[in-house]
Amino acid sequence: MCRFPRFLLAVALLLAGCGMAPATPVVHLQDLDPTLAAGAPGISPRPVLRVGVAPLLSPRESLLRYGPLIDYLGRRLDRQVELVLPRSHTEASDMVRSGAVQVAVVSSYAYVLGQKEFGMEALAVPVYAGLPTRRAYILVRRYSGIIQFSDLKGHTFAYTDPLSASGRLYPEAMVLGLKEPLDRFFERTIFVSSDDKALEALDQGLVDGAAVDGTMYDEAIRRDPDLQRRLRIIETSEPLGAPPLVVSPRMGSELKRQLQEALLELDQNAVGRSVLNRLRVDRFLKPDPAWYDPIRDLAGHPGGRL
Amino acid sequence: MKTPSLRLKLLAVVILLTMTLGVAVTVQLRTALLRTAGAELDKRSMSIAADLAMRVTDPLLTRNTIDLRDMLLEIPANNPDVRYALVVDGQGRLVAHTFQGGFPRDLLTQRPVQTGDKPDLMILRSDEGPLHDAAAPIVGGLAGYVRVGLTETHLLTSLRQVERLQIVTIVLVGLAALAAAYFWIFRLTRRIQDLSLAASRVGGGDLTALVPPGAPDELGILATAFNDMTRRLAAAGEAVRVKEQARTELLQKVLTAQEEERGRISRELHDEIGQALTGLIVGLKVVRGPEDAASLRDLAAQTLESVRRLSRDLRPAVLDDIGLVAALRRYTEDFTRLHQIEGSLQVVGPEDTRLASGVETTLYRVVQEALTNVARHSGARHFGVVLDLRSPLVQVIVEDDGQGFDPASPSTGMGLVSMRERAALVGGTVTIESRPGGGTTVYVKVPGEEGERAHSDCR
Repeated sequence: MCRFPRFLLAVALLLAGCGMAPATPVVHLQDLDPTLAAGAPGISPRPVLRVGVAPLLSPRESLLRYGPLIDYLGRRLDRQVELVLPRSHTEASDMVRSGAVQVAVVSSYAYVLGQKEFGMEALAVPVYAGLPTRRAYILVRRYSGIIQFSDLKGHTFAYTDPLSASGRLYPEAMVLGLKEPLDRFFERTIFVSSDDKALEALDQGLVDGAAVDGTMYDEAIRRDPDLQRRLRIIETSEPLGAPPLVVSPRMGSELKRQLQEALLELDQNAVGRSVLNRLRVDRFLKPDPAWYDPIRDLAGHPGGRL
Repeated sequence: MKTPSLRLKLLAVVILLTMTLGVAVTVQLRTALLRTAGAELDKRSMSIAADLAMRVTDPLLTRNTIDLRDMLLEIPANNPDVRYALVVDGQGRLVAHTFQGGFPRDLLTQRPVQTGDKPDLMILRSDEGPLHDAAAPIVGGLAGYVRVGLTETHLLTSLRQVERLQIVTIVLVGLAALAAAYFWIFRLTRRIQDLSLAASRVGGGDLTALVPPGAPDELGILATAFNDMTRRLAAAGEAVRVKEQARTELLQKVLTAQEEERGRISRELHDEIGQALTGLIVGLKVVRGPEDAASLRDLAAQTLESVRRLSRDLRPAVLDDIGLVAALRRYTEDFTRLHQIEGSLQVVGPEDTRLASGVETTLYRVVQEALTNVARHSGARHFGVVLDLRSPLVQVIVEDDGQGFDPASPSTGMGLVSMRERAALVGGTVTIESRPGGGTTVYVKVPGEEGERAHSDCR
């Protein structure tokens, strides 16, 4: 009779013991530090070089592709290099103009405009599939019954960005070529900010037509080969200069030289090749102004800003 | 100190068992629930963090802090368990969080975040209880990470509700079980009480006390055994009473028989011996010649013979000296001579057998009684006595060819009863076969005692 309660006690202790945990970190949630406000900038011991990348890709994809380049430049230039992702081509261009970023990857059209307006300077142009130029495509869904550009009249259309050559200038030039009014040819237009979103919008039937950068379309097909069977290219532009890497006209010539050297030598060492590999670019070339002449021509129409 | 009753002890055992079971189940369930719910909370914090990491990617990378903060504030609004959420960028800077008017520095300093691309979970202790802090990397950790902290407050509240409900259930079920147990124990112990009450009544001499046996379980068997015992006790008591009565009657009869015997002896002394002696005295007064003297001598001799016979009837000395067989032989010879009825004694088995003195006397007296009856009532001309000494059961048969009688008739004389009683005293029986006009046979069976012969030899 006497042993029974002792046995119970042992069981109770055993059960209670199960709840014990090893030592854990202790935090005081009520102890708020007002100096740690959200977004407080860190203090960098090294000079900061901010690199803006225009939304040619989604922010996530931009980070993944340009991350290694940022790290590489940081080491090469012995600077704190930060990646800045503007929300639009316009913002990217404005950031270069205002000095919020010293270096930027901007759309070709933004470069052409910036060069004219405030002396934006291109340092290097990526070579893709052996070419520093790329074509713009007008795409529709394969079974939508639209087989030429004029069929798009009265349909919905996706532009990428107001400052995109492939995503806006080219389709607008096509409309104007048909002697149609820009504001009434399409039933409705939307700006979707990047090429992959334009493809997505078209594929999912949100719009009937879209204009995208040819390299972006090739990449999308590599990811999803079936896309080729679902979409159809109805128009192809002549080669347009690729989105260049530009600097502000206020940048010091020494830094500019170092930067250009670093970029152009990327394909000459292993680290640089892995950076290029991540960017899906063959190498960087010094820009030739002639590559951007077709863009200047496209922008010379009555709706353009040139 | 008063010993608690069996009823109380059984109830205590039931209560103890119920309480033990209840406590064990509650503790066990609490532990299990706590563990399951804790694991669930871990999973939820991981999933919320991973989801948030996906959603904050674009606003974080494009420095859209307003959207970022709105997204973070949505999290605790939609999940009451979430205590906080925060975003740290790729450079380790705190970009957004859900705290108002500052930020608890401990959250950044005390919690190491692994820089891998896998979500990682840690339990933190805080002034508001344990926190399930999950960290999820943004773009594989390149763009920083989000952290989400879940408290157990909500969980513990619902756990406590479950626990309360369980305790209430256990108490209710326990009470029901207790009531059932009390009813059952009451019935059980009442049977025991009935038994002990009946036992004390039997102890006090009341042999009519019986117990209802109830269900045929152990107690039922005990009750049945008790009832059997009481019934046997009552039967034994009745037998003792009957025997006592018989003994009293027998004593009465012995006394009566003794008086009768005395009366007979007195009569014989008066009628025969007295008369003969009176005749002798009168004869002696008037004796004249030798003829008278010879007549008086004959009378004296007759008187002496009468005295001897009387003496022999009272206690046959031959029985002690020469044994049952010789005594019976002499008696049957005397009987033939006296009553002119032809008959003899036949002995089967060894004639030198000596039985216990009481047995021999009994057999002798029974034969005497039987033959007296033959002489008095039967009017027989022949009789026979057979003594069978072969078996341990000594048997004597007395038969005659007289007028017989009906053994069932109530007028059966005193002699038969006394024969039976004598035989019963040494454990024997007497059987009478007779019918009117068909003679009478008396069978006497008495257990003889082996070894008596040796005993008699020693004597």
